[in-house]
Amino acid sequence: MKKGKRTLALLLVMILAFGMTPAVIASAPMPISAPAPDVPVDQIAVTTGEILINGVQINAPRPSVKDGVILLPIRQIAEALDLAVTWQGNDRSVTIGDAYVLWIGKPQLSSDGGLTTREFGPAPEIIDGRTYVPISFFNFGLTGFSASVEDGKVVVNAIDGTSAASVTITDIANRSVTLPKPATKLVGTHNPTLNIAIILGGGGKYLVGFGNKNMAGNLYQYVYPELADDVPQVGMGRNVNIESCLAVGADLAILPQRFADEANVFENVGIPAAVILPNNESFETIKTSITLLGTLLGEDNRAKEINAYFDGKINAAKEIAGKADAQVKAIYLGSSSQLSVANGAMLQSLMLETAGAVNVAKDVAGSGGFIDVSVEEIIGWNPEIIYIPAYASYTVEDILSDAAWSSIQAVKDKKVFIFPSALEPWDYPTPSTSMGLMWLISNLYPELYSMDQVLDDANEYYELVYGQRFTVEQLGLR
Amino acid sequence: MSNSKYATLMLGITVLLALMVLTALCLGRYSINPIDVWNVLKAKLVGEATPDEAMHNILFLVRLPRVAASLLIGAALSLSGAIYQSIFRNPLISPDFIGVSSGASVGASAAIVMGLSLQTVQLFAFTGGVLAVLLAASIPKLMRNSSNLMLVLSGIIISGFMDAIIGILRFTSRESDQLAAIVFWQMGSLAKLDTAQLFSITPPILAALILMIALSWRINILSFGEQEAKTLGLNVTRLRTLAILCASLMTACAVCVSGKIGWIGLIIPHFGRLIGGSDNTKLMPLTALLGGAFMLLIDTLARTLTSAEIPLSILTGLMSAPFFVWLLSRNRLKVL
Repeated sequence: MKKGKRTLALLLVMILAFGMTPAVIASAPMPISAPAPDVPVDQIAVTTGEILINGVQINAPRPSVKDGVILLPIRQIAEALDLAVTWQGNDRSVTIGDAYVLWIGKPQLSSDGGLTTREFGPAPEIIDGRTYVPISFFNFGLTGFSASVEDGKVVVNAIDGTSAASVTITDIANRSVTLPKPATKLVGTHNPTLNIAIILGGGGKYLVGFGNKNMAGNLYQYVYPELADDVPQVGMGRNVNIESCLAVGADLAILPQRFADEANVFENVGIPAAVILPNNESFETIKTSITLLGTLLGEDNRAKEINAYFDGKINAAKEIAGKADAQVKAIYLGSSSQLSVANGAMLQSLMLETAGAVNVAKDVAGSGGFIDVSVEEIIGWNPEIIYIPAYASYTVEDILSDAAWSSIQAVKDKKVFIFPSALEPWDYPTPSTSMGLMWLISNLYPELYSMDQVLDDANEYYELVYGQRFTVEQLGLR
Repeated sequence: MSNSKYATLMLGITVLLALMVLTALCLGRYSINPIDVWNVLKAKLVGEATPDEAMHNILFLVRLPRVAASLLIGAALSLSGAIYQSIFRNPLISPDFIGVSSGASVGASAAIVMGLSLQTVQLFAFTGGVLAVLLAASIPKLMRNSSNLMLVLSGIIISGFMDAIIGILRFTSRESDQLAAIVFWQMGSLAKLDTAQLFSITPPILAALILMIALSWRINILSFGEQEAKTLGLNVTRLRTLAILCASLMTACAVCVSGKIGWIGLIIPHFGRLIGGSDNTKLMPLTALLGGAFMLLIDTLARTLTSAEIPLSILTGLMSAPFFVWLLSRNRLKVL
């Protein structure tokens, strides 16, 4: 009997440990920084081990891949670039050419006798008695060079800094992004950010890797039909499959500010990354995103054209809304629950105010998305009009039939509307907000602007950006 | 505790509870003026048209259902905890151990990820909870060992497994809205309660409550130990199955409406024993009342402290953990 009890006790301890572990892991908060890319060494796309300098293969030790970072032997590459290399044993530093100094274990390059210091990715290290530097050293440390991976080979080229082809911007995260020539193969996992690329490309011509395809919306069926079958999904939100990005030959990754820490994941394998979508959204930031990405794609003129159209529409909207005599009390509810609202920090609130309405939920504290509130507050605000997003998980009927809401003016007048459009959300941070704004004015003050005019505006925009026109049914306008 | 002392205690707590209910009805983000509440109530009693339609809706459609729900859910969870602790003679057992809450979480998370309506989420949660209990009950049958220890073990196994599935559902959910909805559900809230949901859970919870209080004398005998209870003529297996069934049913009903609320089923029975002794015939009604009062306090705080709804588990955790330390320091963790 004692032996049985001991076994049972042992079993109990083991099962306790087993039972606790998934609970602990499942209840841990979602990681907020990018996980280290989990790619086995021999499968990352540096397969051939060749290093080409300005198109010529050099005799050098194989590149090394550690923790998703590509490391290259500095001596052979520098000498191929006509830069003398000297090792200083006393402080474990390497002098390159006349002016550059780097140290083992320090991710910094000093030049001009210490006057300037540039930072690049992980620190240099010694492998097999040789000094190795990360690939980002050539993109962000040394100036005048670019390094990337093409067809399994590491390619390092000298670029003329003043060459007409190179493009450079300072992105939203204050990072300087320089490309030797405009990008043509973009990857990303955040759908509103990718939308900017689709607008500039008039379709998907610049995209080689997409995010969550289920969130792509109806518009892409018309303007980006290749998305369904020909374009791979390289990740979802924060989870990026870096191997897929290398496989499609990406030359630029575009990110929103909330994923800015993922930039390292791309740069460690030689893919430049640009943060182009800021967290706080306004009409100005939409134009900034278009301008930044337009420069990186070499589509400056098109970016200017779209921004000019956008500006014109916003100003026209302000002028029309200025003619309204009374300000309607409105509220914009959130996507996951009718008990969440858009406060003053959100783009939807800016649109309401620009259209000449008053956002009753403007002063609710908080930021970073729709804010949860108590139903009593909504009843207390008593809005005259309620807007719900096109991507809401509840319906207009849910609100109209909820007995607790029946005292609200908007419910009594049945003024609960779905924000357009059925084609794509007109409240996402893209130039489509200009159409959303016109629709709002027409909805709030029908005598000032008719739905027909909104339809004309929509087709004017879609004609400009995609060269296509859509019907009232396709747009889901009312 | 003598019968007369007990009667006074119960009367005192009932009066306190009534006062708390009246106060809770007057509190909320809309207005805390008791005169407004009184005007609406008076109009309703007399049969006149209401002077303030918004206040009327809030009182009868928002606050009253929430007050009733919190009383019911608090009583259900506390009583379940008391039953489990008595049957398994283990002071650390809570209604969550057998996997009901975890199973309900799996059901609710699955429904949220599939984008289903609120009523369907409730249904899925209930089904998930019941399935988890059935799974946990079937493991002892497989092992052909229905001892208490085996039941506890299988509860831990099923809870752990369900939590892993919840991890998968959270990983695949849409980050923009579904993930937040799942996390909010797992922390518990009565913000989205409607009267239909309340009416659907009231009969089963009340029935199980009354049944358990009626059986409380037999559970006393069960607390002596399985062998002793058998020699005293009690059908141990049947009583234990019935008790676990009732407790699980109450927990599943409560959790499917409010989401997962922790700590209350663990703490309140101990508090009840502290003031009323361990006699289950006295303890069970006391625990039910105390649980209802505590849950009412928590829910009222949740909806009045800030403009956003605070999840219930956060408040129960913040208030219960120090109290548990105090209980331990007073060495009052007795089960018998």
